[in-house]
Amino acid sequence: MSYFDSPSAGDVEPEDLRVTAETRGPAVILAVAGEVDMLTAAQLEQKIRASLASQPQILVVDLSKVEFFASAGMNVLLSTREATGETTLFRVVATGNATLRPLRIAGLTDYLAVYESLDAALIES
Amino acid sequence: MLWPDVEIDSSLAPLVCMGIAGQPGPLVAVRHSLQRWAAYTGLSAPDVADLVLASYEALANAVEHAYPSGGGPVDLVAARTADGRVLVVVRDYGRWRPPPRDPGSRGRGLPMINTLAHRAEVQQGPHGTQVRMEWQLSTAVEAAGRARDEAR
Repeated sequence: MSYFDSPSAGDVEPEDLRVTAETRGPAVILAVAGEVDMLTAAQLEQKIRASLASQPQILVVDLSKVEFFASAGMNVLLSTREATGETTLFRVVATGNATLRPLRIAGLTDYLAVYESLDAALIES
Repeated sequence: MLWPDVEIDSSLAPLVCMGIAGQPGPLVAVRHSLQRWAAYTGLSAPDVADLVLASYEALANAVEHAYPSGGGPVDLVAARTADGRVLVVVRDYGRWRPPPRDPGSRGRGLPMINTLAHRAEVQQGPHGTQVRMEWQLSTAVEAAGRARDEAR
């Protein structure tokens, strides 16, 4: 096995982000899986905007299956917080080193309603 | 030499990615390589996650700020040192532009790097910016490594 990878311009790996939407009572749940970085953050933002169109009472962005979460993703969460305002309760599910840890380090857990499980996020309806 | 002051631990090959195209796409492969490499360093899982994220933020900064018209070269080198540290250096050759007064949504990278790394240093010069990050291996891991070496 060699560590001497030297990716060049043509060496673009496929985007790896999957977002599935589900409506459960008053809540729309966006389950996100894969990696959120400067390449895929726009995709996440698009899905969130689409879910907000129906003005759900609660929007839960579930990041528990996200393996990497960069500041580009944090920008999306913050702009979602602004966009939801008073109309929609915006909640985030994050757990572990890949998501909860960076959100804490960046101080976003003070701004956003972050839950450690989907059940916990849905219990306060 | 990137680190004239550092003795590299020769038992782990450094990861060397030179001339990465400064665009979001190519950074993905670099991040995955770094993730695989970091698993061999002996850092704890949270430290590995921090290293990968901090290094990615440094790369992203270079892409966003060093080359406004896009695509200039970025280098990443990662190595374990003989005295039990893991170093990552990210370097670009663009013009440093001071962060806007209101950093808004874009100013998160550097403060995060400072918190994620055990030590971080940014050097800006007329020929580019270098971000040097450092993680200390825990003494337990170092002790295990020494025991293993002695047993050989």
